[in-house]
Amino acid sequence: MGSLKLKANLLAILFIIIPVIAYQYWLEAKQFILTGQSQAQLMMAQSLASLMSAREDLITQVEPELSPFLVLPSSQSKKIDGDSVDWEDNIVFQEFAQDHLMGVVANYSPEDLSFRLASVETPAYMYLMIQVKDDVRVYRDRDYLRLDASDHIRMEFVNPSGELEHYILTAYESGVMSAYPADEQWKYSVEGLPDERVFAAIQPTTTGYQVELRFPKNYLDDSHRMSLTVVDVDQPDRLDRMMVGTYPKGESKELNRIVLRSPQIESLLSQIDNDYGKVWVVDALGRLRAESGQLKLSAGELSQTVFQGQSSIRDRILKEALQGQSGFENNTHLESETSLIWASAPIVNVRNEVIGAVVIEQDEQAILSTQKEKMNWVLWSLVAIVLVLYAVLFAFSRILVGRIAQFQSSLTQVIDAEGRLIQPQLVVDSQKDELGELTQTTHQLLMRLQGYTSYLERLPRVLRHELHNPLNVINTALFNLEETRPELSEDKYLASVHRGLERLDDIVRSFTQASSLDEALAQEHLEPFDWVALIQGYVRHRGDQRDDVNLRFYTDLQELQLLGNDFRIEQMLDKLVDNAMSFANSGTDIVITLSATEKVELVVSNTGPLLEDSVKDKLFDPMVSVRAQSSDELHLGVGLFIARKIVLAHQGSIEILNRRDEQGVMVVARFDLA
Amino acid sequence: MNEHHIAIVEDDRDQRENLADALRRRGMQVSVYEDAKSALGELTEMPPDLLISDIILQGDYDAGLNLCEALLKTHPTLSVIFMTERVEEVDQVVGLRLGAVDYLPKPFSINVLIAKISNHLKRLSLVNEPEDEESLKSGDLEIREAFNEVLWKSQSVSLTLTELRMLVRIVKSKGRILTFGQLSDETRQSYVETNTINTHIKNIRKKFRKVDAQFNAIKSEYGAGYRWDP
Repeated sequence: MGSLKLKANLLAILFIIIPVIAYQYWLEAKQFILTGQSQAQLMMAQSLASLMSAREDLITQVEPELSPFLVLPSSQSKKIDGDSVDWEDNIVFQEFAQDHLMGVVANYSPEDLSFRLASVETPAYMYLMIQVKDDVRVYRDRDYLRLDASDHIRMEFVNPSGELEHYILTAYESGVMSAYPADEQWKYSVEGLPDERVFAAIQPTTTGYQVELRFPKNYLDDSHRMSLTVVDVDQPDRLDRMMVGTYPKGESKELNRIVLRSPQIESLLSQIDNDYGKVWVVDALGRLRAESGQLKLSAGELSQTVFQGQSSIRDRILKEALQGQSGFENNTHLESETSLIWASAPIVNVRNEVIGAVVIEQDEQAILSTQKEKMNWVLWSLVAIVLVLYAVLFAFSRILVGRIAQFQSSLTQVIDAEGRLIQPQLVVDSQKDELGELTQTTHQLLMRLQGYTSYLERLPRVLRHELHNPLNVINTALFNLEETRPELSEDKYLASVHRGLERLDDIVRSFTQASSLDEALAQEHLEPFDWVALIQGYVRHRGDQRDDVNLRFYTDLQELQLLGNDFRIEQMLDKLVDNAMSFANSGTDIVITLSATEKVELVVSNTGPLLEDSVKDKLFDPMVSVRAQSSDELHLGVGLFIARKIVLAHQGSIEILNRRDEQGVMVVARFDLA
Repeated sequence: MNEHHIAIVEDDRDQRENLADALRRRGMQVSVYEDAKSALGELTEMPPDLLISDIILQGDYDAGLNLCEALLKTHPTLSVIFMTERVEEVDQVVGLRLGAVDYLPKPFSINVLIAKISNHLKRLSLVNEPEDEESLKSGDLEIREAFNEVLWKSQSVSLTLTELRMLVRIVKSKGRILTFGQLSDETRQSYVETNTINTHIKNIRKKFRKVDAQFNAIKSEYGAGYRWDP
């Protein structure tokens, strides 16, 4: 019964394949979309690159010989206080030491004078952070008019008019620094007043000092030329000084190039409608020249990784682009929540030189979000449908199995262990399907069977009634014959007719006794009585039909009050003893024992021929007899059948078996104690 | 034997004629009927002293009972012998008219039938010519057999004729065991199953217990029979 349910469940498990296939399909679709997107992204990078190559001038301002220093974009303005706390953590410093020493210095040590320079830009300003190592710090003396009599910083740049500007930054003490436009000899202030638009501040450090500087980007012309020199004065009244500058090597008068992001390129990029990606344009040295889009990197991230040669996918394809190769890649992983696609293309000028690269990054989540949403919806719908299907199938199989089980149980209630119809009323499944029809057909079959069974049950009584009349005719006719013809009373044929009639009577009686037993047993009530007394009385009073066999009764019980029908138990004993008498060897005992331990056990045993295994189970069936046919007595094989009926009516069990000593046979009837 | 009028209702011609012949030879006036309808028509006008009837007539399973019921309405003193073993059903129909109704299951011996007939006719004559009644007493029991009257502790107990005869036999045996064989004689049947006697005894006990719940004077002697022990 359970296996049917199991099979249905196993079948239902197959449904799980549907979402798995759907998921596979989703992965394929995702890969397809990603590939398409990557191709599109690559094309975009390539078209941007070709656009850029037309504006070579915007990118190729970076000449290595000018020792360009990089100005990184910054999203926030800095408070000018000489402190670097509000600068980004990953800001890139460039070191200036012995190589940039101006003039000949004996026994130079970086501790004497060296500095690190970092710069960032906002849309309007440039910020510089100058961290100086200086063993002796000398502030400006208020008594001296000259600007170069103390530690100071010289700033030289080309203004929008193309003229060279000289600025000197000095301070009387730590804190605010003044920026004076200075003369070409770097000695005096041109106007005597500092430039208020240049903000600077100085803070002493353990190894020297650091200067934070801000000035408007519009001080510079488009060529972005500028240099810084840190001048170390150890004694205010002496003019021997040490200088470290940013100037390109070779003592040239050339200023450095400041690499700023190009507003022109950015305005070009901004025209591209790019909702979820980001575009970078870098120069041939990998420095960021422009970016657009929503995914802002923190300042310096890109160039830092480029400079430091880290091998993230993005920087790898950037390097490849700078080597002249286009490409795309993604870091799609099934597990990763955010995955990105990068495409890169080199910017090549007319001389076929790589002057820069375009990198486009897009968030795959953003690309796929719509598809993913739809796909998720489809997936979850599928899962829901499968679950519902599974539930329906499960419920259906449960109902079906339940109906079959109900059918089975009602079928077993209809027919008893002997195969007799107890009640023909089968619980009929009223549903109009095959199972319902099966129960209805079975019901009809049972009704027909019941008709036949009741016919069979009626048959002995009908037969008896029908036989009684002719028997009575013969009886009364014989009576009249004998009375009217007294001379026939000695007639041997008449005597033979009488004997025949008696046997016919016996046969009819035996039939009816067995067949009416069920009915009688069902109507009779059980009452408590003493079984020991009953058996004792029975043994005492039974008129044995055999003189050569003794009937004995043994029990340890004084009394056994038990529910039962005394007449029927006596009848049962009678049948069992009759049976034992038929087979008992001459000169032996038939022994009845009664015990009551877990169950009441009544045993009737005789010494005599053993039973063959094949007949043991059949002996309690009607019309089965193993007696020799030559016997004069009438044996219809109903004795043990009746005994069994009575035992069953007392909720007991009965069996016949060979004795353990193999000297005879015993019948054991067991009854419940309660 | 005086000319008693006996009616036989039996649909089987052979049985009917055989019975009638046997009774006529004994000087009885016998009228025979093969169905209940003709019997009822004539017998209502000319009631017999004794009606001997089969129960199943012409395929009607209750014809004999219905005939008896109808005749008893007009002739309450009618005696009836049913040729049947449907004791319970007959008792239900004739109810308290005890002693007036008897049963004789087929196949029977005509000798037994004649004995039953004699018994009934004797009863009739007793009713007609009352004489000193013979009363049987044992403890709280008093039986006036001739009048089918049984008293237990002065209360009347209603018994059928067969039951009465069995009781008389048991009581008369004065404490000795009365065997099934002996008791079966009292049913006046040619063959009696042990269970039939058992059923009769149970019914007798039941009827006594209606007037005395403690009644236990008829003792079972298993494997033998019954014993009177008041």
